[in-house]
Amino acid sequence: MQKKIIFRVDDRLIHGQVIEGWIKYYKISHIYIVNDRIYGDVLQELIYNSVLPDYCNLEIFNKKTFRTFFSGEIFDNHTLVLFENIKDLYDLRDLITEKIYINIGCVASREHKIEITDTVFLDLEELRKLSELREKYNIYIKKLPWDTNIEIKNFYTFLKEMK
Amino acid sequence: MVNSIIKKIEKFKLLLKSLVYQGNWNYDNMQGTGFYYLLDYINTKHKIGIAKELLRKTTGYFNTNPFLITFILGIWCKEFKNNIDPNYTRKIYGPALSALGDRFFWHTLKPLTFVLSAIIVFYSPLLSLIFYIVFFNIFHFYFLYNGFDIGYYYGRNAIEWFNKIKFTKWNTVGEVVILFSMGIFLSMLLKIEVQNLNMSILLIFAIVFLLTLLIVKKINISLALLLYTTLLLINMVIRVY
Amino acid sequence: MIYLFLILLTGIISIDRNNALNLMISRPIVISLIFYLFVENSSVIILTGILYELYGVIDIPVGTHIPKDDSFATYCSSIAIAFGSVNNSLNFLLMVLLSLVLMYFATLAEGYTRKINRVLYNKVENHITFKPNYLISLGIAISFLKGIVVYNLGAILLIILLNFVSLEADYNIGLYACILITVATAYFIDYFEIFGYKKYFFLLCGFLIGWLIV
Repeated sequence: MQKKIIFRVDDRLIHGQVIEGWIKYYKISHIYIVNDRIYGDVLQELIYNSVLPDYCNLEIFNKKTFRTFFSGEIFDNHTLVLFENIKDLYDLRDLITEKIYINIGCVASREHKIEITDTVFLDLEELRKLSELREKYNIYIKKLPWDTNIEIKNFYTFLKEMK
Repeated sequence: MVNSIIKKIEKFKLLLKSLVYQGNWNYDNMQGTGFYYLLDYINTKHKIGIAKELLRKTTGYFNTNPFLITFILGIWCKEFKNNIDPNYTRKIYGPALSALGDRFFWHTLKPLTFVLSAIIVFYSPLLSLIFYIVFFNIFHFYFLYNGFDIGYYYGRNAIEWFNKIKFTKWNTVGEVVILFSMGIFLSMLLKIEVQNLNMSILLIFAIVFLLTLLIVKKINISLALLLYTTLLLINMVIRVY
Repeated sequence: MIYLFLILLTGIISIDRNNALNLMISRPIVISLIFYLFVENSSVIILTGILYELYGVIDIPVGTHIPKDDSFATYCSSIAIAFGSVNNSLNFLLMVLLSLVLMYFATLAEGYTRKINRVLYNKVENHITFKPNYLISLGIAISFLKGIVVYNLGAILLIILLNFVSLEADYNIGLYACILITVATAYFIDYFEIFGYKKYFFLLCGFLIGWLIV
């Protein structure tokens, strides 16, 4: 993959697919979690640090600190930035450039949500935000790096139908 | 050693139940039904006093590595006892233990067991079969049997136990053993299975191996095998006719 | 008796792989060893098991990902070998080719069982008397039946297709199996994390020591 920075939305953040899939496949050495809830939680930081391979560095940010930290420049190694939900990604949309690969992993089933794929369930607000992002950037649904990209295309049409 | 809060026989029953808890795995709540099933058993047996509404909430979306499920049950019960929202802790530990378990059981232990039993198979197929089942399941059952107690003892700090036993280091050691054993296996395989093995045949194998290494990141293993098989078939048909 | 054993085996393999147990009965090398010991004493079965084990061991069941059904390929191939449909190198290669293609459909079938489980769950999720035992038992039963139907249909289809082609060729299956195992080994080695050339060093050390001791 040409793009070295991966933005991934995954409500489970660091789990088997991330470790055995993304981190291993791209030999990712830097992982950033952007989440207001987890930022400052010592226990969660310890847990996530404990499950990562030795060669991986993890840093946890909230949206504000990440905005300051992240300049969007190309890193030497592959870098993975994890968001828990579409809203967090949308809030930091001004950081997105063409150099970033955006990927939706798992957004779990919850009530009153619309099924996009078997692992991605979104409500109308999330769909609207994702559609807006999709207007500018390519966004794919992909569980594992070697899976086929599922392109997100027709949400605006879909939203109109819903109305 | 961690003291047990449930009787040995019940720990064993919990182990047996945890072998089937993924029965209803689905894309909606994943292992949620199974988690409820196991927790309901513990609640009934030990009168922990989990309210029905809270118990029903555990059927919601949840997934972890099946070999470490009893740890999460233990953590859940401890959090409940301490009046901390147990489902929140489950939400953190589910993915974390899935990462740890997937890395050890699927990434390291499964290939390790395979390579070792593949070496043994040249001496005794029966021994190889027994070895595979026993070796893998020693770890499998150890973690399932003791998981609840460890999870309950450490509660939300259960990760400390994994750090204490240097669980992530097991993968590094395991990988070295796998690669070394794979080398032994390959040389045994060629010497035993290939008739009239000589330097030129060995060179062909080396070329096939190196050529494949060049394409591993380009095409997946299914396509590579289909490609090689088709090429070999074409070559054979040409030779036959 | 042997047919009953094989039918039961397919059900158990399917459960072990997808829904319960995880005792590793479903691993290709284990299936091939069971066949070797109880059905047909042929080393080709073991070589096939090793090939599919190498093929499948790197495709791990992380999260919602359904790994390719290597157990299916091993079962079908072992049946074809045991029933005498593989008697030369050409048939062997054809068997590998066909079972890789058929495996795609077997993997797809597992996706459908997960969808059935979801329908069952959605039907009862809001009931006052939610019975997980019922859902779990039903899920296991469906998986068991899926194993029996899909695996045995696959095996029958494979045998029919192999018997359809009757070409004469040499009996050098060991050589061809080893070539394919070498291909799968390259993927297997790439899968490990020890960076750079270190992993090839360990592999080479093992190879040389193995060469000396055999």
